[in-house]
Amino acid sequence: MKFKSIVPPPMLVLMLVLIVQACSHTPVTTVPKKNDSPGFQGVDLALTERAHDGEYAVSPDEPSQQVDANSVLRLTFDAPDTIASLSTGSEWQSLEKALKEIARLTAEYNEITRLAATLPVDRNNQTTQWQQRIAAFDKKIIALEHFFNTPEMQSLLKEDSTTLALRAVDENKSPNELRAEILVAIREALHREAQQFTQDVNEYEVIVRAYLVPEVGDVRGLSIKGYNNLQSRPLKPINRLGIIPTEAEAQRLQAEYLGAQAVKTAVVAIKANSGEVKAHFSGLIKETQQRFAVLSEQIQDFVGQWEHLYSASTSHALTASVQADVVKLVAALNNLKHDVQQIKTLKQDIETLKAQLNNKDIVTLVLDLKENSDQIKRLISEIKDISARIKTWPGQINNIVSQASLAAAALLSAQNTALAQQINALTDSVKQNFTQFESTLSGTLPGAQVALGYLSDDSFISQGKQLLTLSEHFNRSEPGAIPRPLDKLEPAEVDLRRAGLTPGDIVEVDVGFFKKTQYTQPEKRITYTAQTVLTDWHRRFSSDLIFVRSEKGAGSDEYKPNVGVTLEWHHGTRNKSPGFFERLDMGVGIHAANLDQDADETIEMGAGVNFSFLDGLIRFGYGYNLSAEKHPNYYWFGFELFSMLNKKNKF
Amino acid sequence: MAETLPPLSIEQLNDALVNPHFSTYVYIGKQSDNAWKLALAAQRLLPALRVYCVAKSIATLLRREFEVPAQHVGVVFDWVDNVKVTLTKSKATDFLTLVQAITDARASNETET
Repeated sequence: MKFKSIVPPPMLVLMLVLIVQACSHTPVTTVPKKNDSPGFQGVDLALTERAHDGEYAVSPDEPSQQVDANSVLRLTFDAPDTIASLSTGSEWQSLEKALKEIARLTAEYNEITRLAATLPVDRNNQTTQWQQRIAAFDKKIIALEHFFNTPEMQSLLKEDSTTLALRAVDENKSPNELRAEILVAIREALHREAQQFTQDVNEYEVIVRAYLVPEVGDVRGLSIKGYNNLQSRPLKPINRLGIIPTEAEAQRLQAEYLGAQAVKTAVVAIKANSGEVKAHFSGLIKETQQRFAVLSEQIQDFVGQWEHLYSASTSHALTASVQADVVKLVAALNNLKHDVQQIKTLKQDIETLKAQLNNKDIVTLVLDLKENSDQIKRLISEIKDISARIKTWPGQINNIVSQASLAAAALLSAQNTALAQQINALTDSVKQNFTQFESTLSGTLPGAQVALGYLSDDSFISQGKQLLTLSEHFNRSEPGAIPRPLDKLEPAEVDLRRAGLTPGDIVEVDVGFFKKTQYTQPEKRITYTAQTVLTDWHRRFSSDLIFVRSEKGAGSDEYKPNVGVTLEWHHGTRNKSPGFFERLDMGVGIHAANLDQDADETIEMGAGVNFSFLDGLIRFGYGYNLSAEKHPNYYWFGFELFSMLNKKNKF
Repeated sequence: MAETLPPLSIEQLNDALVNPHFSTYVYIGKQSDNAWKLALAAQRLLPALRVYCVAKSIATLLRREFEVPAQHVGVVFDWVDNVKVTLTKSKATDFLTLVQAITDARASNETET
């Protein structure tokens, strides 16, 4: 049997490309850890995943990290004391206790030393009494030394007793004298911190929100007791090994099934009419390009107006102070202009790609990832950069409006009323345009995501998702959030067993520090993002696009696209440095499939066994056609199409 | 007050050791050693303690006189001239161990003559 008769060459190439790409990915650290706690105004945050196999730290701004789908995420806050609570804090009380004891023992030490100098060398009736007194004093000293070696005091002193004693000698002090100096300094710092924090408590509040970003369906808020009004869902942990899917899993399985059906139809259609598919793809690119063009023109227009105004202003004899305000305004505008230029470049790159598409068959394009990789990488880089910059736009617009007000005020005081009125009019126009601009932006990003998704590159899809998430941030409503003052921050818990999620969904915990009553723009935002997975031994459902071939008889001459539903058992690891077999991530299970082998049968069903590699990336099966009278055995290979690209990130 | 040998002789040390109102710690080594600095720190923490740094020139004599093992550098006396414990270099360079050894020696012997 010739090799090419077993696997069609294009599919073989696709499989090899995917396997090589998956294996070349750096393994994702399941639970990254960082020592430096994020926070704001002295309030430190820590998010912990409490899973069945232990507790793990979750880091902010690391979207590639994973948490167990049955875990509880617990957000804790470590806030300084206020002036009112300072003296009751354990840290303060330890300090006071240590300082009092040092003062008492130092006085006694001095008294004993003074007496020692007066005692005669010879032993007398008082000697034993003297030695007992010293021994009693020694006990207190030892007790104090042990107190200084407790973890709490060590965290304050930050030096062990030996290091501190050596330093004391170098500074010609006694160890307790040096300790007292350190503790007094700490006490003063705590007092200052408490004073500052007391002010901050009156100024800031915290809002904690949690979202589920499912692979299928809409983003929704999750209940966090004490931090929002969302109703808690019933406790429904995912059965790790059972064969009954949860409601959410069934929903996603159905969506995947429909998706696989659609791709199967598409594969057939590509064979029949690749030109039509290519036109559809080009249309999506064109639509995205047009939307970017509209966005670009809007920004260009209002930047142009401001520049015109600036030219006009320089023709007037402006005083130095007015000139300074106008220059700041134009600098703020130029920042935005730079972003516009970048969008233009992106537009050109999309155009180039589109031109190339017109000269290629879409299947060739998808398979030929290497040839397009440079262009794709550049586009990814540009989108990343724009994505980062878009986040700054609301701030930039606010800055422009604020600078405009200052410039207008300066012009008014310089009695340049006409120019000041022009600026005020344009400021209003900016505010109005910005609403329209946001809506164009929201419309553009999903279009871009769909178009880029067609390139079948995971980086594109993930970037597109980021952009989508960004646009959702503009529109995402607050799920009944309850602002809490900085000194009343209880631990916040997100119970993923009550989230109704499917492994693979994304969980986001968003902590915003806001000025009181100003909840539109946080002073500081800390976001934790993680993909939910099942760890240890677990089962997994998927709907695959499969290519089936009969062992003998009808349907044994070619691989035909079909759709199968599989149930497999895998072993997930939290090992940071997975070995070869852990990286290979094999799974074994059973399947049911639609078949199309016998031209005489309208409905054909098959069932059998299957195994997979690389977290279900590539799957192989062998089964029995329940509808066939002759030669019922078949074999197949397939892909979890829709989650396949996301799963590549795991390797 | 901390003192060194020399200028003190073994005889002078023996004279000092008989004063029952002070306990004594002797360090065999250089004055630049951290272990000696810790002895000085201990003296500023514990009253009625005399500490001596013994130079190499008479170390052999002192080891013989008080039966100090070769690898040990710290000699902890009680209120008189009894050696209660000797310390290795690593123990003599740990402040808490040193202070504990000195206070233990003084507590165990407070009623002896």
